[in-house]
Amino acid sequence: MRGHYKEFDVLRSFVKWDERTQRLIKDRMASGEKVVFFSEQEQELLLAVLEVVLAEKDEKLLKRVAAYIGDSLGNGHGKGYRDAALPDEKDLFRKGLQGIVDTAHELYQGRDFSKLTLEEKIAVIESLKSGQGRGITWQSIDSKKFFKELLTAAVSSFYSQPEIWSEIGYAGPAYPRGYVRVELGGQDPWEARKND
Amino acid sequence: MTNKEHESIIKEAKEADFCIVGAGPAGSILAKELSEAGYLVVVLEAGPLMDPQSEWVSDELEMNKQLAWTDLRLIEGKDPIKMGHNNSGRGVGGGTNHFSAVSLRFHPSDFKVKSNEGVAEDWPIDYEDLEPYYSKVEREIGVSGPKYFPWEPFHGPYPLPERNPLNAVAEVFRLGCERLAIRSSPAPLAILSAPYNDRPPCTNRGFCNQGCIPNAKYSALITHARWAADAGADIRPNCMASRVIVSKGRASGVEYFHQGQEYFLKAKVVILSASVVETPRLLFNSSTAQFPDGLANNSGMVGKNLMPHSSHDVYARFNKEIRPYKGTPVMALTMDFYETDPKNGFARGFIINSHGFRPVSFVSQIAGHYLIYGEELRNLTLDYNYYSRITLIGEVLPDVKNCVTLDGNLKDQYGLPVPRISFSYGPNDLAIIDKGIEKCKDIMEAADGRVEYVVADTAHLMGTCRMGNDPQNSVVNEFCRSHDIPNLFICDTSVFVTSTPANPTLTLMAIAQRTADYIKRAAAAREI
Repeated sequence: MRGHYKEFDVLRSFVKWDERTQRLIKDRMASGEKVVFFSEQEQELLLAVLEVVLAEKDEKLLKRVAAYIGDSLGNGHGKGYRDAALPDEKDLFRKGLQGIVDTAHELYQGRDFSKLTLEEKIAVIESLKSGQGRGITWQSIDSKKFFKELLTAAVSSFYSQPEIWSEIGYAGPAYPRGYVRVELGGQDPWEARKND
Repeated sequence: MTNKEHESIIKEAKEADFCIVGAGPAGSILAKELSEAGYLVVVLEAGPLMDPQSEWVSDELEMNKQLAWTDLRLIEGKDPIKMGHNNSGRGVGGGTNHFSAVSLRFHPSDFKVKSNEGVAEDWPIDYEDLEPYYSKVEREIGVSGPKYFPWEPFHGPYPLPERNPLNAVAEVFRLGCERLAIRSSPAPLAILSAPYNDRPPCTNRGFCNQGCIPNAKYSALITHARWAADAGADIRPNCMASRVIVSKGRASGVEYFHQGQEYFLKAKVVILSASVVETPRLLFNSSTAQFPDGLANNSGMVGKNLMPHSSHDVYARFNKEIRPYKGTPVMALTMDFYETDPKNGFARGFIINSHGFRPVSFVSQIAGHYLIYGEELRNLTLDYNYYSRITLIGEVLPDVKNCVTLDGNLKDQYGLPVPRISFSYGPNDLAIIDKGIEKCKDIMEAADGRVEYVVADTAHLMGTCRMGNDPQNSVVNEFCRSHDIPNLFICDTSVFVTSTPANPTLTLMAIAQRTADYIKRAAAAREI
């Protein structure tokens, strides 16, 4: 464990949450068991990309993020808008993942993304991020816009995981009890305590 | 509700006196007032009727989806507007289910921007026209506020005392203001500080933007929509209006979808309260030979002059814990930069709010804006509890080039053309943003914070069916009545002439109350 709150585990408050929220978080923690929307190869590639983007080795967390992204794409429940210059979300993610394959092949003599070293993987991500992604996919799709979509979806799910709430010292769901000490320096007994 | 049940309800209802499209704050007020006056009111709401206590959860990811309008909109322009949860509600209650509940009155100068500055347009109403309605709304929803609010024209008193204590995010903001001799105040909020009308006070859980489960925060869902139903209004959830039907120059009713089937509701008067995107979209989709460019659009102004607020977020890191997740997101503000200052070289101004945040909004904003990822992202978020945030609400001037139109190809699940939303800031807007960010940075630094991130964002939507006295350049009159179709009203923030630097909901509610009074008078006199 790293960070300011090594002793903190937000799940110690689990029993204090309302039942619906308990069920939601329990389901979320179990959600990585299923592969949703993506093919097996796409899933494998997505996990390899998420490992770099989120700097996270724990596969069970990465699988939950992949499941969230897959579920958002597969159930047709979008976020309510999209850049008029981008294809629809399903297409964007399918093509974008293919684009990552292409970029890795272009930069590293036909090698697959998942076979690259961390530094090489980062170079592929940097290529996307620059908006000048190498490879044929990025002639029709702005690689930077795709990367932004992927990144925001990934962090939205990742920072909704209780393990990560514990890491950053976020006290999590707070219904029905709320907070009593909200002022500067104030702290309720169940909130994260700084390392000594 | 099954289609069969729905059909039996429709048979009983016959012709409505009023069909209101949209059960947000304005539609719900109109439904309450008109049904209490004895009229037969039917409200068509595209989204569900939710029960906060048994259906909502305490979670960003889940609620940001559940409360937002998630049907597709295409965004374009130099500064495309983030839609969805950012500014668009769905379900009975509309945007008030997830708004921050900042409840400000506009200033007299807001209504006279053209006369005073030579830009934008004047409103056809004054502050004085809305004053009694502001007071009425503040009482109905239980606004809490300071004993003395420092800025003109309204110093209080508010129906309920200010929130106490303020959270750390508000405290450091106020400290920075104090050291720079900037006035600040606890924000007037539609969030209870004491029990009121069978609703409990706020517990500071901080999930205002994810739906208030305890009912401490006002929403149309738990107030006007319920009062309307109590008075006999027929509020129909999951009913998506697709077309306003006109014959012989008058509206005769509304077609809508419910569970895949299309229905027609006959009505003597149609009121659109579907907000800034869906109202013009419905008018466009209702085109006829007599109204080829959309209903109520002889002026050509339907869909034009779309305005968000600029709402840039300034994040600073402090050397002590802030814990930004606690308390109502906005608890303090300054309006010292609201009015035009001749020294600035631009018209109008901005306000600054203290603005708490939970992890998903924090990380998706910063990662999304700076494209920070990997170890750098993980390291910065370890300091989540050491960050505070203040946020600009900047006036955006109307510009006909910023608009809502229909896409020529894409259709939604109802077979209706998808809206396109085009927006680019103008030079005055950008000058306000620059100055606003500069002030935000000054305040954070004065409070001993180190400014780390400034994230471009917007809040609220206004314009697209503006009110005015001249039918040549406005869509509705001062009472929200269409210039072109006498029994068609539009009552949502689309009628706003300018955006002002203030959060719009309280003013919308005052306009809805005033419109309801007018409709009752006109209907009694048989003038509708």
